[in-house]
Amino acid sequence: MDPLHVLVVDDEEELVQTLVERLKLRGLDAHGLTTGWEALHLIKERPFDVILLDVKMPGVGGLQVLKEIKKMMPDLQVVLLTGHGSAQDAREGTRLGAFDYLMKPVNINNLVRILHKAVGRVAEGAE
Amino acid sequence: MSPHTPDNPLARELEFIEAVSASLSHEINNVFSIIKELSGLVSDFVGAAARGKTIDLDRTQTILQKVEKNVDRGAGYVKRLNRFAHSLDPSYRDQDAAAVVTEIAEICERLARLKKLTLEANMPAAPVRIHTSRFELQHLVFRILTCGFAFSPQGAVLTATVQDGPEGVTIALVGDSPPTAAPEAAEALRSLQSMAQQMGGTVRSDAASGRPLSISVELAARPASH
Repeated sequence: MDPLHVLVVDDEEELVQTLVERLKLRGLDAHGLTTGWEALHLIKERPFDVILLDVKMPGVGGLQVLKEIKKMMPDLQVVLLTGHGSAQDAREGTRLGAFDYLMKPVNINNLVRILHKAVGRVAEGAE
Repeated sequence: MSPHTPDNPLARELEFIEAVSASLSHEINNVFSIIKELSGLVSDFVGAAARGKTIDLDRTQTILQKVEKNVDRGAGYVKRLNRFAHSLDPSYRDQDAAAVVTEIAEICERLARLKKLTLEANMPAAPVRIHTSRFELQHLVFRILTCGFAFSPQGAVLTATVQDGPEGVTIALVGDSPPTAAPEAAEALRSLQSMAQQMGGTVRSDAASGRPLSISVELAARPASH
């Protein structure tokens, strides 16, 4: 089966690099960026199945990026990453069309499961 | 942050405490996320080794050094949060205004970064003495900085300074760009003016177009009533 193509977007570069590597070790075709602007540019140039998107980022925040993604590509699924204890971002993200949201720090297996679920797949080895 | 209520001092104070604790706890959580992924990656390597793959020891060592670096980073944020929590003192004593500005500028660094601003602090070597409530002073500095953020375009560099003068102590924030008219800027300035007035201080702001941003508050070194 074609691997899941994932774009990870978070302003913490070390987090992005490490998550991308761990997702690749689990068979996903993962790429990482640290700004919303770069993400909006890249998704026009290459196809992704799902975007993993941090909510709080400098400049263009995650919710704004989500809005733009949904305008450009309504069928492209987005999973939000949030460090906030408040459910407000999650509710707003869901209202804007995010598939789901995860609280940081994430459980990698749960993350892989959610990313696959976002495009109607089941992760390999998922229970 | 909760809705801004400049006419309710308690609500303003709670908003200040909320902003500081939320910002620092957010940073701490980010650091935990990074540590979790880095240590998880080492765990992945060990798992792969158990299946016959060779561990890249240099790579693993680099990752563990990153874990250590992030632990230090997180400890720094916890220290700031703890110092802030222990310093919430409403009583009137001699304070070092330069130390307070440095403390709040460090705390506000993330808020500046989220708006794509650079915040620097240029402090004198010697303490700048002022007789006031540390909590009120911390709060005032926070309002000066966030007011400056509201007026600044992305990419601006803002410098916080403190000066001791014959009339009192002046805390200032100067930018390297002319100010912009963000929706929250006017309200932020009004809130700052209200706060400064309650502390017996005077706000001077230069939001004229074409000139770099400048916001300053002058406080008597020893207010008449304390």
